[in-house]
Amino acid sequence: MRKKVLLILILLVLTVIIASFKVLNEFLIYLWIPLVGIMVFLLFGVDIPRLMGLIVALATYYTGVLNLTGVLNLKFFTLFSPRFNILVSAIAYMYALPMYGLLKFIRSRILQIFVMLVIYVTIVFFIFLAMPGDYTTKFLDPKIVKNPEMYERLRQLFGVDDPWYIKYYKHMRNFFNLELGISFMEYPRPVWNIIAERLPRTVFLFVLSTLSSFTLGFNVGKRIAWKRGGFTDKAATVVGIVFWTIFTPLFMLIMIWLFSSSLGLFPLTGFIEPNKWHNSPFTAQSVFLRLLMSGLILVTAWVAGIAVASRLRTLRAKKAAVYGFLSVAVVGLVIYWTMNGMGYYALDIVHHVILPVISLTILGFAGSMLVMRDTMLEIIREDYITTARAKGLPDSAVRDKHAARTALLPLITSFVIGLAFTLSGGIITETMFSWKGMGWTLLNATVLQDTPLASGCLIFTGIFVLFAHLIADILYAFLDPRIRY
Amino acid sequence: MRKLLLVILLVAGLLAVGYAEKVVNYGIYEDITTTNLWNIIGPGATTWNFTVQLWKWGSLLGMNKDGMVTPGLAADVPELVKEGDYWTVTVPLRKDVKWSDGVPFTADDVVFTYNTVKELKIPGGNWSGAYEPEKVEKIDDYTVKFYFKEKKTMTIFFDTLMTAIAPKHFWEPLVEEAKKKPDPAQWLLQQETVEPGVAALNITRWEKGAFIEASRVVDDYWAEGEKGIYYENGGYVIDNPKTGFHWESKNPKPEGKVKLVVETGPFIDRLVWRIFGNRPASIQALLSGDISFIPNPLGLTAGELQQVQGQPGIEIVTNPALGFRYIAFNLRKYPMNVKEFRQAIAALIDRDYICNRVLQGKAIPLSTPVPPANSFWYNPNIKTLGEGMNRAERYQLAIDLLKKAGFSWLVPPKIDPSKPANPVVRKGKGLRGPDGKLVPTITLLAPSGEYDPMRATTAIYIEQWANDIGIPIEAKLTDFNEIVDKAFIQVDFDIYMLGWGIGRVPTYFKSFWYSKEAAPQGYNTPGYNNPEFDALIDEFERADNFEQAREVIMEAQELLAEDLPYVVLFTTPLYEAYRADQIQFPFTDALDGIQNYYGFPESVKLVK
Repeated sequence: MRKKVLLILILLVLTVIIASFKVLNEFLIYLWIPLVGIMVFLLFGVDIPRLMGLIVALATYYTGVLNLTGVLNLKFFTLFSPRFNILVSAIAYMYALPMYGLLKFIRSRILQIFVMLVIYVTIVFFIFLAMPGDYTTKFLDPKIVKNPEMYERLRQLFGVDDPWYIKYYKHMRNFFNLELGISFMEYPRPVWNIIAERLPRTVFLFVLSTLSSFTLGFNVGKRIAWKRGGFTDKAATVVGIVFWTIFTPLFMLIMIWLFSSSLGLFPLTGFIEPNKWHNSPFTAQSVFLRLLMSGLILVTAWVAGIAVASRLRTLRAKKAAVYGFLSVAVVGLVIYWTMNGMGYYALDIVHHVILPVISLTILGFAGSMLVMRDTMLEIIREDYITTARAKGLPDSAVRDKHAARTALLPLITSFVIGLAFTLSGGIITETMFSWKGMGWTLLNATVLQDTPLASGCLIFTGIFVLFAHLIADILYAFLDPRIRY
Repeated sequence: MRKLLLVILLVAGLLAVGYAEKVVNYGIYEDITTTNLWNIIGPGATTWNFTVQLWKWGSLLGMNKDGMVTPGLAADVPELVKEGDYWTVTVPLRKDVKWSDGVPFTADDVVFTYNTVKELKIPGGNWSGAYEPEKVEKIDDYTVKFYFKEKKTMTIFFDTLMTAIAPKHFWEPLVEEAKKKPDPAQWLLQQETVEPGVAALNITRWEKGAFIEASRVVDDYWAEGEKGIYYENGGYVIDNPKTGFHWESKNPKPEGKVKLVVETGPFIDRLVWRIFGNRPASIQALLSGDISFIPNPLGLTAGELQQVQGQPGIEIVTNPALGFRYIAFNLRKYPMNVKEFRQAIAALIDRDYICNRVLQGKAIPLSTPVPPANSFWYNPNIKTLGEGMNRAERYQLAIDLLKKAGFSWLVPPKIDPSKPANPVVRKGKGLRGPDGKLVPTITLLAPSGEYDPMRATTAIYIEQWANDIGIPIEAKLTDFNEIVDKAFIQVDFDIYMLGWGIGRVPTYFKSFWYSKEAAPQGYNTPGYNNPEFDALIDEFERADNFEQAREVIMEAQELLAEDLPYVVLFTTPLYEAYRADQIQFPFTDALDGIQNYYGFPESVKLVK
């Protein structure tokens, strides 16, 4: 059975590689994907429900692809749009494959996520529908529109006079088409294009700050739990709670005033300094993407190091593996940033990100610190901790290797879900630090009633949060031996 | 040797100073959304798109600081002439204008712009003027003739001939491509290209979400050194010593002393607009000298004004804003359709008290929809009902007006004029209409204090004054969008309070009060329908000259003050601050502030 599952995985990976790198030409890619399904199906023997799944998958897939590529016009066979057909085929395809244990769990969760998303997208639609007025209200200013006929034309253009069911149909069509519609504010720019522009900045800022606040929270939490009741415990808890509950805009203004305006250590706001970028041959977007890629490489190197270390026996070898992988990645990245000519500009972005990250870390570390402290307090009462102490292990080893590792589990869940929420950005943070990302976009789109853009931002975040839940569940299966699906 | 070294260092220093780039930084609160002219003037009409880019294009006619119509890309201000079935305007064009890529500006550009808007049906309010002409014809390379079906003088001069002109040589291939697409207008609006303008500066970098930069792209700029000369008698001269272009106003002719000379530069190499997500950060940046000015149509808030007042290097400028706040009655509903009832409400509203005592001088009382600073169109003879009266007299006037219309009370109000501080001895109760029925509760919709504390406070005062004499008004402070929805779309309201930002020329009279413009199709939310007023507006539209148009508007203001579809309340001064130690503007006393000139990109000078 394991061999068969492994075979499926290999086929799937091969499919992704072929699709991503365009190893085969377009036609063969379209052929290859169903071929894999048929092969797997035959390998595992005939089964009526799976056969039905495969038929549905292939039918929806081919009608979708043929319509999308314009080879055939089979509009009557598309469920909502060609893209939606492909989406349905992907889900049906999973039901055509034999899946057990964790894979089966993932399959049913994906179906649940899909249903949840449809409900969520509907709720988002009705929330925006309930808001009084519409986007064209701003055109009531005669400075902007001098002619009522033009106002009518604009209302028609943005479709604000349509009945609710037509609006709902358009909204769902945009969602199923994976296009999210066209923004009103930046007409006629597609919403996905705006999200693609703003997302890297938001991800860069918020992933950094989430990482730093979790790291700080984890480390302080485990230490204060270990010495509970002491001065450090009380001081850290009070300080943490004060910042956790402080009025965020005021705190950020104080930070800007102190570190930027008075001490001049950091730039006032924004993510780049215009005078430095005046002659740059690159756009900030390209540098942001490369910075994110560098972060991903570092994380991959770290995970690879841990994976290799788990196979090694001595502590020294384990450390060498982790640090070795990390060092190689760091050296490689330093060489890359020195050679590509973007280093100077990347440093400018990093200079701009420090103050928001510090502010967000100070504001947010208490959450993870208190979760960590509470879990640690429960765990250190467990028998195996007493056993570890009785064995004469050093205090720090018992704390870090035995207690903190178990206590980390709830923190991991909140971290993964927190990471997904980073995609929505922070409305206050982005506004205060003039960091034009997803949060700022969502705020403006909502205030100006740019419904496609606002719901696009919310839908995008919703998708990631739901998938983050799935990832957290999967991670649990790996991290906690008590959990099996 | 040492001396030689010193001399070299000095020369190097001087050279560095001499060649130092002249950069000016402004702050804005939102990113631009497009660089495409068709879009900027169309659905992309945002304050920030206008501020950052609108100055780079020209229109055939323009308006000077004093509100006089002047030539822009035209060589003279043309006349409207009757020719057969048409009214025509023949516009001579300037021969010295060049696009920033060096291509000369000609009649082809003008014809192309107007034809493209009509042919591709480009949407957007500011293109509406381009839809007016029946035909635009090229007479020769530097003469264009417009044909109109109707004699809409004001629309033609202030709208059609003030439409921005697009460069044909740049846009023609794209327009041809657009015509092949299923939705040509949408496709054209999607094109993100930086086209040449007629200015020396052009957008050279747009880092989305961070900044926009305009740099000097023309070395030999046609308008460099051109002067706009203002005379004390109101005369105006455009003089370009470089190309020899010269134009003088005919009415009045420039005579006597010169009061102001505005020279076209540019005097800078680069202008950067930095984007700020919040106002406090932008004020910090102004104080620290990171930016020199914030071209914001709303100006500074009271708190921001306090923050920047007295700070070294900061100059504060106060100018009258073009706009007004008002209450509108729904004339379709009883008792708002009774003129005396509206007059009674107007008599109760003590604008001076609200502006000077309640709002502590932060608002300027208005008696007509034309602010006094717009002096050409303003009627100074308009007096509001109850002007100069004390509170007791106002109450009495309102009561008398209501009685005159046949209103009565279950418990009549009692006013004691000998008690000026609190003249209401007994509050009125149970107001009954001329038909003897009780007047139902009247809702006054006003924006909440969060959105506009001035309007919210005023609404509460109006409610209190009305209740004192038994008029059952209830102020409902609510969301701005809800008011707009009820007033403009559902047209289901009693009285609402909002504000308008207006243009200099009162073409808005037609939009707000002309009977055919009634909401929800138009902006006439009260549903005001007065044939006398309509006739005046028609006359204004078809006036032969600006003097005639002015007289008509004076009369229309009197009618509005009598009929009161709106009670105009007040306007606010616009406060702006700039770093006088960094930059210098050609002038700062301007109706609607420096922001109205987008911060003078072509005339701003560096101080150091």
